Amino acid sequence: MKKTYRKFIFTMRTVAPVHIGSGYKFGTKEYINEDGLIYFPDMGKLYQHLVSEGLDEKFEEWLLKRNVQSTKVRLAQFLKANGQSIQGYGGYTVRMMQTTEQGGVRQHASRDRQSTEVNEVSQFIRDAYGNPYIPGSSLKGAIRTILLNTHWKDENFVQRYGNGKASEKKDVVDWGAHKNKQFDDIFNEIRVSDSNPMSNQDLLIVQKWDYSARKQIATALPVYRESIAPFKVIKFEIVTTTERATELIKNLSKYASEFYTDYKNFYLSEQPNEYVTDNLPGYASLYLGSGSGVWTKTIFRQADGIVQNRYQRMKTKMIGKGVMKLTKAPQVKYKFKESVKTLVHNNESFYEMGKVAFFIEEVTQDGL
Amino acid sequence: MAILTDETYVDKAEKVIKSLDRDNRNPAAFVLTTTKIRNLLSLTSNLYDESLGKQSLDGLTDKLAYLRVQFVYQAGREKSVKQLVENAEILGALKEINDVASLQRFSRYMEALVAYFKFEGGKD
Repeated sequence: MKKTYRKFIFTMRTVAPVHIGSGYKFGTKEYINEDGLIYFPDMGKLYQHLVSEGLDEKFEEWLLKRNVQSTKVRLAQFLKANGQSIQGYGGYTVRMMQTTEQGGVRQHASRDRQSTEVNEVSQFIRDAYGNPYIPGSSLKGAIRTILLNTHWKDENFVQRYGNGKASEKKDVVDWGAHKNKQFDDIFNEIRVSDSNPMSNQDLLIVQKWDYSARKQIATALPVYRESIAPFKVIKFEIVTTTERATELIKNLSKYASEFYTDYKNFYLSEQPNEYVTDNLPGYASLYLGSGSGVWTKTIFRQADGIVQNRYQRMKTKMIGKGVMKLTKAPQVKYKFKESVKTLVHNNESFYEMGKVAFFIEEVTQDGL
Repeated sequence: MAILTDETYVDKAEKVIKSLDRDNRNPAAFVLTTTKIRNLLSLTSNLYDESLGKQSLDGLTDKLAYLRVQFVYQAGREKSVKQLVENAEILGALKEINDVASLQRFSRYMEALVAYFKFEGGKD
């Protein structure tokens, strides 16, 4: 196939908190929570310091202690009790969203925990310099979901096994090399770069909230995520190498809108309108990263029924199309055509987790 | 006698996994979950990768010291992890690490524990 490289700039603006996990979760004894800031010390450094102070045995003993009244056993309390400073051990600090305010909706804290108490915090993915960034693979996955739900929506992606279980048929869209066959791999022709690096100031630690339309209750869960705060701009480069790939990327905004409309009809229409985060005028929308829910990750018309089955025997049974995935972040106001707009339309500062707005423009032709 | 040697660490891992508590209501399952044992493995796998191609433990010693603390921490959080850490003599074995070869042997021991855990029916 003839190669013609075309370059696009993908400009994203978060309209809700976005979390891409590194896979690491900070435990309750690995951070210091003070005045709305969470300090994650370099625990290696901290430990070295404690060794030099002769406190290592005491520290190990404290780590082994299990205590349900956990605010008393946090790292800050241990350091203070032993006359040590609670800062200066390397690492980094991230703002924490204060979730104490109560809104009009009935809210209840999950199980026996207080909703304001922070537990495990999922780390945002970082580069070797410690700066958070969004991997191109994450964005490419979100783009792929959009394209499979629109451009390829008439294909059958469901593979059934003898035992009734189902999985995604991965070769509907051809990929990889096959013997005696022309190489045909459309997603090889779409190359998505990593984002520019961001900083810890762009991050905000937010809590997971589930909203059940059936019960009309928002539930705070003990899940905390380092997320990009709403209204941050992030840029990516997308390079396409063939005509057909260029066509898909050029029309990405159109495909995204088609996907969004269908997603709205399928899922959002069953949810209260005030919890749906606004789309930005002039931008298309997509969902990125964790916490945005299964329907934004799958070919949802075909996954409907299969997904629910999968969770039938778990503790967290999925009823209907499941709960709405929300999170709280500070309200954002912005100006559009002389009028002031807000991103959220509820008093409780609820955002749809993982929602972003984007536009895409071609920058050069062939000039790579 | 050393806790881990190249000849014995796999057999030891098998014995350790067989000694772990099973779920009362479902004897096929362990009390320990895959997630928790995988968390322990992820502690060592980074260090293993960093040790590749190195001649000595220079530059890894503080990470190694903290590795011990992390095992203690994970054990403190969950009874089933504590049982694993104790039965597998992980803290003792960590003290025996004095060169790259022993660090890599320890990492393989962790892998062997995960492998036998899976083989013996360990699930989430």
